[in-house]
Amino acid sequence: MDLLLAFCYAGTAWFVQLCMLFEYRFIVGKKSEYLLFMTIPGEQREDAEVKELVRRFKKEFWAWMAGLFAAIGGFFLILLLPAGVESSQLMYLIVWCTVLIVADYKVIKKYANRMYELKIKKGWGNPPKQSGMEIDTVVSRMKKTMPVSEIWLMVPLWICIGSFLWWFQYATEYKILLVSLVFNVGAFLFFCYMYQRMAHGKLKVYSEDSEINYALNRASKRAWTGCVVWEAVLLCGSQFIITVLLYSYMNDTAAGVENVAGFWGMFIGSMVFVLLAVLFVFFRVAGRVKQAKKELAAAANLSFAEDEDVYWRNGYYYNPNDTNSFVESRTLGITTNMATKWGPATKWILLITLMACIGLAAALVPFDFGRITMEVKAEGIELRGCIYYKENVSFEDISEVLLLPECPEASRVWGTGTERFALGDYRFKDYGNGRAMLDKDADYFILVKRQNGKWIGFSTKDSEEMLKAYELLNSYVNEGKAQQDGK
Amino acid sequence: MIIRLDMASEVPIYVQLRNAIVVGIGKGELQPGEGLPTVRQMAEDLGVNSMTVNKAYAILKNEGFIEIDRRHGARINPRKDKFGVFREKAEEELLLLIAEATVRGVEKSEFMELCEKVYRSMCIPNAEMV
Repeated sequence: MDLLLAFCYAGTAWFVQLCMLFEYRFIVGKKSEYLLFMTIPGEQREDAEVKELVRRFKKEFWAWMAGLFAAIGGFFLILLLPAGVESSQLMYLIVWCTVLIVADYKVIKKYANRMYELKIKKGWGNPPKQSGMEIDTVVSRMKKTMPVSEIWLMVPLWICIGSFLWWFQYATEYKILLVSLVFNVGAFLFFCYMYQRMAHGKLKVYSEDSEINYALNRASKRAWTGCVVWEAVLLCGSQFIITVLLYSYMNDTAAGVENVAGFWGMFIGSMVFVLLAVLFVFFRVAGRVKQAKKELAAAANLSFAEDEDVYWRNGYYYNPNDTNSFVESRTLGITTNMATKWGPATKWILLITLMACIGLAAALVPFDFGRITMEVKAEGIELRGCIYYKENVSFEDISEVLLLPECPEASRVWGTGTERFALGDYRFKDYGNGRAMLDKDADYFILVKRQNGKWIGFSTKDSEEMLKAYELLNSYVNEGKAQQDGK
Repeated sequence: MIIRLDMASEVPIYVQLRNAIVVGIGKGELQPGEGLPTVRQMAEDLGVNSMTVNKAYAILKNEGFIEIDRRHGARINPRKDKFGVFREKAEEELLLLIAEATVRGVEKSEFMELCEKVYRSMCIPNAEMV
């Protein structure tokens, strides 16, 4: 299981790196429209200084990529640790991704800036007037005709509503599935927001001809709003399917039906398939928009009097005169205009995400190094698990006690399940719902039935302590029965 | 018609917008009956506050260049200067302009040539100066 997890983490890291490398060909590729984010026409690309700058960029970029690729082996080295493997692997993934993103950003920013300075030094290009705003009144009036209809967003909306209705009908005992459904709603709201930004974003004036302006703006708006709708449907739909798969697995486990391989195959397959589908749609749309605009511009014999390289000199888009929050990237896809409110917001989102990931990794540490402890008190037994969980078993509340040599099979309803611990609300096979405070490495497991019919299962690594606890609890049960018979 | 505004200029944005539309009508780029973008569309695409666009449209309406209909939005509908109000205003402004030109050393013939050149750039019938 640890090795499987290590492969999952390594696979995630490889995938992230692959995405970075995919973007690389749009930065310095021979067929790329831009060179290090700058507009450098064909003949200027043969300039010795330009070639030297590109060569140095490639050297530094590939040095970082090779180093980070080699560092992926660290996920497997962590397996040699005596304890704390899970939290260490997660923390390592966070650190690795952070280093990758920061290194990529720094290298690109450095060389994009140098390319821009070289361009200015050589006297190439024609920087735009920084204070200009322009509008084509004919095209602006026809803005409403450009994006795909908002009605298409009803499809993912109904998927979200349908998933909640399904949960209310079939799966209310598994509250943990609500997390997945709430994520669905969040994703849907995000896509609604993105649709509004794409549909109502500022139009661009490419030429004096309104027909050309309309065609180019329409190609862009239609494609991107359509992409948003497709992504919303794919993500919301797949999230719902994955939730149903999870529910099915939890039910099977509670019923004692084992099909772990089949479940994981479907789960990973659906996730991988969905991820690939989402990326495929996104990049396909980005590529087609670029192509359509290129063809339209060529057909209209457009030559741009001004270039916008000054806004891309840091490797990202910063244009205080452009009110659009999201613009087409010079590599692939869309990017944020860092001069709008989304600029600082993006930085905060990245920072908060990083802090949250670090917090999550830190939160897992007690599960790697913690244990379950038991304290016998006058009124009952107090159980504590991995600093987060606490449970009291009152002697007066017991109706039945069982001592088991193996960990009872159970599926999680709401709580934590790791390689070693089962903590929280669980559904025990053959017994029903209850609370679990189980250390799966223990020798003995106690199941206690409360007066309300709910069970509590617990175990500690101290076998002697467990046997004594069983004797104590059993004595209370027998005492209770004797009193009952006496009446 | 392409409208260009200069955010760094000292001239207020609503004045620049008003002037650009008037020039557009004068040059024939905006024809009578032609619609203008709604206040919201104009504000979104220019990246200015909608109150600014509202103000420009209100001025244009008061001056008789456009009419605003709740169903159809703003439309170009220039009114003739029946009561000579514009003529009086034009005379005042020309007085200042000519005075400044004279102080700057611009001859009358040069000034008239300049006027003719500007007139020719507009799509005005019978635009030849007498």
